[in-house]
Amino acid sequence: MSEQVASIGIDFGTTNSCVAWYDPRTGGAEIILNAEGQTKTPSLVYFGEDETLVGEPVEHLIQNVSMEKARREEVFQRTIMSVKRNLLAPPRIALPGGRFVRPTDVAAEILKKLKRDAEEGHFHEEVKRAVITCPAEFNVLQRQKIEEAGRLAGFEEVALLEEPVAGALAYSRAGLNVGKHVLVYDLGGGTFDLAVLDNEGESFHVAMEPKGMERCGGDDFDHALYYHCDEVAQEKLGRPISLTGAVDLNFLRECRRRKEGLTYQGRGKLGDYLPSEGVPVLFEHEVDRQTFEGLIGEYVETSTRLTEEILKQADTRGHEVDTAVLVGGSSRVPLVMRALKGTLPVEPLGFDKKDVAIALGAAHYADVRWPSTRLGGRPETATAPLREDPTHLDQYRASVEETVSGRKLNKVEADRLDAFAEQLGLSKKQAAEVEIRTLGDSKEGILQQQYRQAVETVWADGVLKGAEVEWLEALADELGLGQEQTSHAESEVMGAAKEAILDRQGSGSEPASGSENFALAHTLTGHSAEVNSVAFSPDGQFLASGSSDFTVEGWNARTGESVGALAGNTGKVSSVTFSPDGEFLASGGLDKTVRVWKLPVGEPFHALDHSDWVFCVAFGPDSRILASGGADKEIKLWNLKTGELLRVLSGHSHWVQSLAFGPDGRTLISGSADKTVKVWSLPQTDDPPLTFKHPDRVRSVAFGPGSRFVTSGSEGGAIRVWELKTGKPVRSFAGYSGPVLSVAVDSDGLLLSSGGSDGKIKTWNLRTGEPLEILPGHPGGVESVAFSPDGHFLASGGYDGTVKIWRKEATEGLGTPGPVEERPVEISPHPPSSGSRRGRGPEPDVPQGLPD
Amino acid sequence: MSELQEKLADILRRAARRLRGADLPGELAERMEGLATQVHEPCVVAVVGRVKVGKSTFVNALLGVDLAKVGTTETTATINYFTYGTPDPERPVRCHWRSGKVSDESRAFLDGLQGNDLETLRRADGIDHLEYFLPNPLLKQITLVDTPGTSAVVDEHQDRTAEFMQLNNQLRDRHDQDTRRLGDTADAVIYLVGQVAKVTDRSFLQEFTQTTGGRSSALNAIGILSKIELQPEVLARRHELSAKIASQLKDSLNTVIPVAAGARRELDRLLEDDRAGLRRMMSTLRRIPPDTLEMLLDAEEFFCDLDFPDSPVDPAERRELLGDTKWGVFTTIARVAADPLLNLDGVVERLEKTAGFKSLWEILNKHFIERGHILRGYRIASDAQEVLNEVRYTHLPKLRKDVHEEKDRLDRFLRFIREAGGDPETAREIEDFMRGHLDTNRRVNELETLHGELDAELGGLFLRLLAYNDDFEVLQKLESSGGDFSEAELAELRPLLGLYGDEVEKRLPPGAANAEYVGWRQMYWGRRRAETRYGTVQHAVADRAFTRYGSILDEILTES
Repeated sequence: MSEQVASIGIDFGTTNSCVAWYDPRTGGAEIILNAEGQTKTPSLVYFGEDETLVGEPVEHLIQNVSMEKARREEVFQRTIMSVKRNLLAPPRIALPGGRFVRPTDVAAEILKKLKRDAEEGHFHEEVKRAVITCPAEFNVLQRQKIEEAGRLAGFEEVALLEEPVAGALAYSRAGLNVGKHVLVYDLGGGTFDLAVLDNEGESFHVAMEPKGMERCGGDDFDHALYYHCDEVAQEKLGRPISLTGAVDLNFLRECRRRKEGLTYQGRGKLGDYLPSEGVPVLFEHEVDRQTFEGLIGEYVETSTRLTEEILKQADTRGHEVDTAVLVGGSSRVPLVMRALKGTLPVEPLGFDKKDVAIALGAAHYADVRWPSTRLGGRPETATAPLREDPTHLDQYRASVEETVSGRKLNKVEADRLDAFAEQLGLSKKQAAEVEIRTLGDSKEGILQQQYRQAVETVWADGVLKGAEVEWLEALADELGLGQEQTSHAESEVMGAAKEAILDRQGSGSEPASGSENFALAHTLTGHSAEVNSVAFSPDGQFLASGSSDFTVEGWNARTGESVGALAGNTGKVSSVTFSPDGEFLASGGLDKTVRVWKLPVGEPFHALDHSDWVFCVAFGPDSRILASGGADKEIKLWNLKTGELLRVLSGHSHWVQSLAFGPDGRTLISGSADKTVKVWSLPQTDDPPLTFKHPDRVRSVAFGPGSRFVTSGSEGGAIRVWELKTGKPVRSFAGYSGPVLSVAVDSDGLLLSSGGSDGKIKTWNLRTGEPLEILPGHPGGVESVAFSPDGHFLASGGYDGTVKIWRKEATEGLGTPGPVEERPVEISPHPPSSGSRRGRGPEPDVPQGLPD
Repeated sequence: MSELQEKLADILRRAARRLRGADLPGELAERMEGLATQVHEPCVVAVVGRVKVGKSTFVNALLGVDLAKVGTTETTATINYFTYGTPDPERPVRCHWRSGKVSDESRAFLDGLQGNDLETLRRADGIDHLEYFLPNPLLKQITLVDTPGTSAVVDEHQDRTAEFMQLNNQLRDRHDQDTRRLGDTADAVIYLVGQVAKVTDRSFLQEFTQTTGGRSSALNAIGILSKIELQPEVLARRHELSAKIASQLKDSLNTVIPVAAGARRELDRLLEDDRAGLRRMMSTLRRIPPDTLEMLLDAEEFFCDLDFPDSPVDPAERRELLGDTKWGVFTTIARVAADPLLNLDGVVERLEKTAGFKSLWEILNKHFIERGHILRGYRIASDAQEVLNEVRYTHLPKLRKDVHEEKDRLDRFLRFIREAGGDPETAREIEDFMRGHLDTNRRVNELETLHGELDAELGGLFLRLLAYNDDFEVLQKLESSGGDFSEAELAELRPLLGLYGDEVEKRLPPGAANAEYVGWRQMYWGRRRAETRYGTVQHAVADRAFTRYGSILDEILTES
């Protein structure tokens, strides 16, 4: 790549845009993921006062914007969508604050982001050339505008390519024989386009007037489903989905998800909590495929009618269509496929990358336009057409695409793919070819690559510790890799297999240092259903656990004996916590109530109502405020003494799943299923909270390390450490392929512990990011982990209904735990004095080792 | 003739020339040429009014000719088109039959259509419409359609046979339908109200509502008070009255204009022969002392009969001056002509103004004819795009195919030459020669370039025309479902979308032609657009308002 100028192909779409590049090593075109890790970037631009956002962040902004009218309106006014439709008119668009933009400025912002993401995430050099696609029917002026936008975005050279030509090119370059005359059926997000092309060997040309329909595509299907639900909501609830007049984007997204589900399943249930002036209202509605097809029937009929027309015209003009090429994600909808099969004279060609075909074709054209120097010849697999039963190969390809995201795979998934390939009657070789074509690597390769990366991580310091070995072994197990494969990767990275390294280290000077191992001290059985939450008392003497058996149980943290249960909950208990002064215990649960008990006896003190399930409770550090959050998407702040509702913090657009106060009491962080972590400053909460965007639903948040960082864990398996002030993610911990259910940071800011649905507890060195230890946890899932205030104990609760207490074994460098003090078996009547204990004292400010 | 029209015609003519010069079927250039001539086709202006409202007088006044003199007479049973042309003196009228046939007819034929009897009705029954040709330059711009009076009722003394009644009803229904159709398709419809018995605002309004029959639309309907000179009170209050009616009927009339059709006709007569009539009138009347004249003009009997011993102008001379002019018309003109403060030009100017036809023409031109031309221009430009599309999607692919085949042949020949052996020098020469003469890509490239250039040239203009057309379509939507918008919004949207003229100032409230206001309104409509469902009238209107404000914004920002 070094001596040639980087170029990309851009599918500049009405609703989504997509980027691909031509890989000279393989002779294939590949999609470049954007900064959000997605193949598609919504063609949305938000012109803020001092920042311009493009794509998914704009969606988040719109979804999370408060219900307050003026703010909503401003966000909408600053957001420009579907600019591709409006390249020529209106020539100017006014923004709040006396700013005016031209359509080309808007288009340029989108292209700029695509360019930047490709540069930063893929090429690591400037991309100076781009092929940008445009509809075949665009006139000269519209084409000029796109070119202008391309130049404004910073491309030195811009070439345009007609979309149907790009689609056909993607097929033909993938080795599919498209014949002499090709029908391109493009049903994308925003528009429907039909074109008949002449294949002239090295290029395609539009052979006759294209046909199409504006406003016919995936978006319209989503909207059709949305308006259907709107009617149902009117009937069932006597209100529309949205009370603001504008479409509720969260619900629209729900419709999109269900629509996709209906591609594979016969029926699907839609449901969401609808914002309203008071309590959010649950709306649920089941839609079967037939109903959905009724909703989109008109669109599909029109599209098939137009297809018939163009086919007839093609016939009379001597362009009898040899093949049909389907492009755009919506051409996957079963009804569309069925309707087309009855219309087309030929079976449509199978292709697994329909929805990104335009971008791939553009990338291929970039190579035609600005030929790259081939690094070696094209491998056979890249050009040789896969002839054997293409539909099976396609099905397998689709399955591979669906299973493997972000080049992550585990043994269970790999086995499932193997089984599917076998079922389809594919040979190992065929399956591998599909995998390579789809992913750039076979699944074995991907499994090994993951292991290799893990080895690189632990070897970053040039030392291999015992815990790291354990961690690697667990990973190898998860990935299903044998000794031979792991040793190979280890040798490549470290020069030798890990056993040999350990031996060498053992005989050398460096002992396996810092092995802060936790050993199981007690397993507490007493709950009859899963344990959802565990919490240490501030003095570390007691442990409370909340369970789906409706109870809160108290335990002696040292001896593991039960000190009694608190009854009163009428639903599953999702969260328990002690007040920092040790005087109160609070719980929240699915009985929609926050309960506060006065300690030591545990008499009921308050029962505070929520309008929906409560998922999390947290005390302010001064023990005067209690915060709770749940399915009503709100955070409620209560006066602990009076039980009075002080304030409601709204802003999350989905469940609030976790809460944590900062040590100064002026900061509250919340994690939500809306994929954000929000930072609320107290007591002045008029400012909109700072928002950190997670790639997926946030399940757990913890304050720390130190006072400048927060840590979050998500259902997609991401653990991130964020800088509080800037919202910058400063570290992320890889190691999960499934949900992370709980994270905890010890008071020294040295250790991170996480519990996941894999049933394991993992500990990490927060400074270095190194994995330290994997504890066998709770089969079925570790719902909650908590460090004792002194950091010497770790408690966990999980799906198996047990609570476990882990004690830190004698370790080097980190001090030893104090002598275990035996205490009477009752909850302490003495509030801990903060000076006498670690954990609530001044905290280390900057955890070392974190970047910047 | 608007600048837009000139430009369109020019572009189309040039496009036709270039298409002719290219390697294309001549039919394409011809079509382009045909479109260029269509640009100047006249707009249709229809005149609708109740019977005996004085339509002939009005039409005569509007065209400035005496139709009776040039061979046309008012018929109550046919629809009459007046188009530009020179009539054949023998057969001055072209009859368009309902069967689709067309025939040129004589004066006698027309005479047979006069009257209100069974015979006339029978004859009229087969006629779709009559077409008169007048060499009047105004008709280059418009085709005037004179409709039979609406809501014609059968008089007491008329034929009352069953056949008469049946035919009468049939004809009336058909004419009503035709009139309605014209109301929808004509570029402008003039609704005429003649004299009203009382000058109360209500009686005028009632008369208007009856005349328009509730089917007119502000898009193309103009109300005319045509006999304002017949009552001095009306003449004095004409502007007030018309403004009042306009505001009360603003949903169904674009504007209301007072004209004095009789005065206009009379003025035309007085201006003949280098204003001879007017000169005589002025000199005659100015011989009478003003006080005396005022008294004489008080009543027709005074003027004709009152004899003063030493009168400078005796009754006989005065009677001659009056002639058979209607008394109201005469006094209107006489008062102006006698005004000692005005010279000849001043008198003409004042009378022109009172007659009101100048401003009628202005409004017709600006609001309707120009817009009609633009809308037609849009349709023509769309057709021209079609021609270009044919170049792009039929002829270019065909040429490419030919060229492709040619190239294959060339390759085959070249291979043959290479493999044939023989003198390599000659072989190379043949090869160079063939390559030079079969510059295959050149033809494709040339046609592609030609298409691109024409597309670009037409594209910009097309865009402007499209914007007008979109405005107009949305105006139509507004008229048919105005109830979805508040009064304030309607008051904003109608001018914005060009109902009262194309200029930025006409589209905006006074003093609002600044980026701040326009931007603010654009954001408002952008929000409305986001809040409405695609496919609804509200969405279409909001989208159009958003776009139009965007264009205005661009104009303002580009200027500053």
